[in-house]
Amino acid sequence: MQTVDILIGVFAVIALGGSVVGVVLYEPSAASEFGVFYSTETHELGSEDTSVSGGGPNGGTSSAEVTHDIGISNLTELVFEVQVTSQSALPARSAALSITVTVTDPNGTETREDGSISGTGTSTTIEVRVPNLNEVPVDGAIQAESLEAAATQANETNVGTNGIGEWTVTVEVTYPAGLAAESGTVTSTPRATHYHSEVRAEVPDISPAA
Amino acid sequence: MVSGGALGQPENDRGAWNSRLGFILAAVGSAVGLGNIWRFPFTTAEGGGAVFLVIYLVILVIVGLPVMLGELALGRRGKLNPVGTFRRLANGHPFWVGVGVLFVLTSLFIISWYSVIGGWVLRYIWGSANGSYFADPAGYFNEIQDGPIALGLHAFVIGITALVLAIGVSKGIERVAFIMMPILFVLVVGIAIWVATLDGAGEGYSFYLSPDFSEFDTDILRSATGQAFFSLSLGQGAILTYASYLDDRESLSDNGTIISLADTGVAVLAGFMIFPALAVAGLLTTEAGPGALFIGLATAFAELGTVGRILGSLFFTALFFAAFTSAISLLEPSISFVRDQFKVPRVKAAILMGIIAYIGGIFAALSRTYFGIAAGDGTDIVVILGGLLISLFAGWFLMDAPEEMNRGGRLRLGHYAMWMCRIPIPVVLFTLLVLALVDYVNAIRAGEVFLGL
Repeated sequence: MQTVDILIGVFAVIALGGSVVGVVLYEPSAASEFGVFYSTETHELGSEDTSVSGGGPNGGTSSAEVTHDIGISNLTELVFEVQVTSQSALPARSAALSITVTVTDPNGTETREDGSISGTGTSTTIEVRVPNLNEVPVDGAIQAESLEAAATQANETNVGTNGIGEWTVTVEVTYPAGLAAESGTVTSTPRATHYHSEVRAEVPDISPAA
Repeated sequence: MVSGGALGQPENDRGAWNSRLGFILAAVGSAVGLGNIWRFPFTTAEGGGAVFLVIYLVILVIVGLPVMLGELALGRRGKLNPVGTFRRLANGHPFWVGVGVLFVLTSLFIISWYSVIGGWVLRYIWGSANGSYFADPAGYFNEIQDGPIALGLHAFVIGITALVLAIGVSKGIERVAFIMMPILFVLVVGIAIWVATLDGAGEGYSFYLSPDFSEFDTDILRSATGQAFFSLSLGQGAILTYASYLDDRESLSDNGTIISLADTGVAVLAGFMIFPALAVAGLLTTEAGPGALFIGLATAFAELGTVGRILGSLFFTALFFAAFTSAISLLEPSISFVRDQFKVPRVKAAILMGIIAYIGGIFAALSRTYFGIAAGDGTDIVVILGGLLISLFAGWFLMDAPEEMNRGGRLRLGHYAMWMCRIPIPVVLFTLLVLALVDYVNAIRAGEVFLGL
């Protein structure tokens, strides 16, 4: 018998033994691995408006309030675009209207921005940004039996609840003295940025040399 | 002295190509593999369409073709397996003999997991015909990736590969190439024509090849360079071994150019069947990778219903032919080594190396972790290293390489190829090697792989 015949015999035994041992030790994975990838998107939510009135010979401050009931989870940022419109302008009014917008989150934390309507203007838009509500999770992998189950699992974990609830937007207008009483409008439009997950089946990367 | 044989003459002791066309088809079969189908079209679409294609062709000439000519020149000059070739041409220098051993081991290493993918493709032919993956393509892929059936199909693919190789160079490899490569070409063209007639296919063409100059950046250059090098089956010992059976009168410059262009042609054609099919199914994506092949396209075939069954069966049959002809070229270097070095009959050499390749594939068929490492960074690293060493040897030690490359043909690329192999290509491949090693180290740090596996 030649050496090669012996080698064939030896390797055949190893192949057979290796196959048997391999199959016995093999553990089928009922669940497969799915990659979870997070990305953000921004939506404009419905606007709310109200009126504000005040002023008179002695000036003074008036305020108005609108509320937004926000039910979106995984919020990363909310931006409130508040437009304040005044009926008066030159020559009825020569001084600016001072405006302060205060946004109060469901926990009572306030974020404030100031602005004004110039003497010649009739409206202004003030943006109040409330960032860092929830942190975007890091991309990862989960085990699940199907793509649908993986998507459900991904949606149920890493849910960011900060920011869900009633938000209040308070607008304070300070009128200069000597102005006739007037009324204006306040429109608040929130833009919500939130993250969402996308689930993809994990596939082993194969060398392009293949 | 071992002779390489001559055209039209009976096979000598080692075997020889019966015709020039046979060699070209076999070499194209080696170069055209899964990467041509799943990677090239998606990389092209992602990299700016026609802009990427032009850049790719330029880099193919700069990087791919010179290394191809270097490997062809080495193989035909040595007229032996990779170990024997380096031993002969480097006068037995241990380092270069070791490089020859590296090539034999590299080809064995790659075939051991490549045949597992061949088994997946066979399952997909069947799965397309009976629609068994249509309900859940991702779940189906998860199910078939490993396990006893994957192991059995790995054994089957290795078995038929060894059988073809046991028959010989002209009667085995060449005959299979003569049958399978034209069928592969007809299938790819036929599917491309068929999907062109389906509603919504047009979007796929503009998605694939619309020039987009905004995509041009250094990442595209890296991507095109890697693709140009990897696509030609270089650095694996396969082309070297095939060239060892080539007649001395054949022009390496002409044949190397034809092989490179044919490889690119099939890859470009693949895009003409893939993107219209994805567009018809409303699933256009540039996400390259095996996921695009085994899940993305499978989902598209599922969306197409009965048409998808036929289209999917034909597509995966074409893919199997591409994979099988590449598998043949990957097992041949080790068989050639055993035959040349130990004077063993080809049949016994094929049986022995087939069994060894099967043993290597047991891990790949039963362990996803091992498969991921072997088929990913592991192969990248050894193949780039192989290309780097080929390039250095051809550029610095094979002094008559230009004459070897230019002999008997119209194209005279020898001096250009040798000059490129001396410094520019080693610099490029060394950079790619470092990047591949960095990827591997990062994967270890991220806990995705274990050291040594």
